[in-house]
Amino acid sequence: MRNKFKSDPDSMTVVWPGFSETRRRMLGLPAALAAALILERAGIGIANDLPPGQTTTGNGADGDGRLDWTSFQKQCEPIAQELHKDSSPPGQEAYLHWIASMIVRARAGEIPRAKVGRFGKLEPAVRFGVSYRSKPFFIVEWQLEPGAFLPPHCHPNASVCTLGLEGEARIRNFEVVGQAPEFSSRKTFLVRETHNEIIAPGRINTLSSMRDNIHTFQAGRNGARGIDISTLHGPDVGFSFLEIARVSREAERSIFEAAWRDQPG
Amino acid sequence: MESDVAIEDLEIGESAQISPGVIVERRCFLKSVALAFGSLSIPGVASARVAGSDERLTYEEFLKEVAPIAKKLVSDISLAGQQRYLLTLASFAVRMADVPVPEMRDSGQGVGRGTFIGAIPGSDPFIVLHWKMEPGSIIRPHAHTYGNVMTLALEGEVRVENFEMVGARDFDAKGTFKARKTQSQVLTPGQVNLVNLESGYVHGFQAGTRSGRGLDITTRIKESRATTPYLKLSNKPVEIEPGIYEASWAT
Repeated sequence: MRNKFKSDPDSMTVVWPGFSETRRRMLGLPAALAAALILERAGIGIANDLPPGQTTTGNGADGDGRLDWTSFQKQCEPIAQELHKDSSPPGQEAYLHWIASMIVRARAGEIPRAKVGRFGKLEPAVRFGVSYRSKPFFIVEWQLEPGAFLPPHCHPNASVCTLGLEGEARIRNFEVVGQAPEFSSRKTFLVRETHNEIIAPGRINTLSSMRDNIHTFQAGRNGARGIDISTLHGPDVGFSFLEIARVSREAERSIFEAAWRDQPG
Repeated sequence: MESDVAIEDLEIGESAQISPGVIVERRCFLKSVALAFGSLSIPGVASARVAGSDERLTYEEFLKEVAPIAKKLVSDISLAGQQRYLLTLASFAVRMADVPVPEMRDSGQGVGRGTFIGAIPGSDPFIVLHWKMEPGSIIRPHAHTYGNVMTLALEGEVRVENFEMVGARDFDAKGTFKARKTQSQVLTPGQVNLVNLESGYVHGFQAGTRSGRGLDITTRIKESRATTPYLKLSNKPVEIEPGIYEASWAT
């Protein structure tokens, strides 16, 4: 499939809708992370990705069972790395539920904040940025102004674990019915709405490369903030936004007409 | 072949599954991985079972693996604590192979006929119900007042919807109140739906053109009630975007 948003491997790569970074920087990460983990295991905190005033050191869960960020890293990542090796449908499910079971324990105030940038010219504004990079996942913080809408987009060969942190947003997930054309095509195809839920603080939504792979966000009246924990389970083949009809073609099965579209804004 | 092993005792050249799907590979970093897991406060990770990488858990293996962990996690009944508990159960359950169908009876929760339920042996702290729905059948939305639920689909396809009261929950509320649909999800084999007593604590099911079958793993964490409150909903939401319905409790 032709890659609509994937760029030159030696230069820029889109890692979230509209977000790019250099491949070189990504490749340099594992060694840095390993070093960081060793340092942290030795009790020496690092603060590269944290805003002023936040600490990465800590002794794990307090009486309330919540984790500071260092403890999340120590407890979540080694097992996530092992689970990530199985990219089968059950393997991805086990991986996602593991990640989810750990991130719900992290204290919201301890989750690294991103330097967010505005996505296109969407009104009301949608902002996001990478807040944490690790292996096998990276975390994107998203911020939606009241009523903001992030158009539907797919995550080929990837899984995403979304955690709500503030406010509320409606997340809708879709799956392609049958075969979709290449991203460059404007031909219509069918998608099925497979999941529709409210995300709010402490609530989780997941998608894998096999199910619910398209998602879209609509913020509530107070806006919303949250994170997407994204993981590749296969080659990076880019992604695309979609236009999905407002009215279903088959209400009973929640089938809609859709077409790939250019990046909004 | 399977046998219980301690991770720390593994030699380089051996492999072991230390958690569902978590395979310690035959590499030199094995000791490091073992040490890393050994430092984690995750019950059950300290022992491991030798298994193939794509091997599915039998139901008995699932119980054996997950029950000790569930016992450790069940005491935190906060929203996040239940999330962690249910998601941990889910991370094991999705590795399970199909489960034999027990003798079933009418669920007593259906709109008309075609919904069936049967108990299968669970393990402290949870019970396990096996359910089956004929095409087009409906299980009425009902509140879980004392037990959270991890639903795992095993066969076919069903749509599950979750609701909660707007504001503080009150299962004794008389008259009408506002209820919100928090989730609508198509469940196919290997997918899960969670009922957390702090959010989305009402669930109802509808089978499509195909039948559906799955498990409900229910864990009592509060005092039980004698009756199950069923949620009666207005035909259409009274506020479309937040998904709010007028509702009342029925028996």
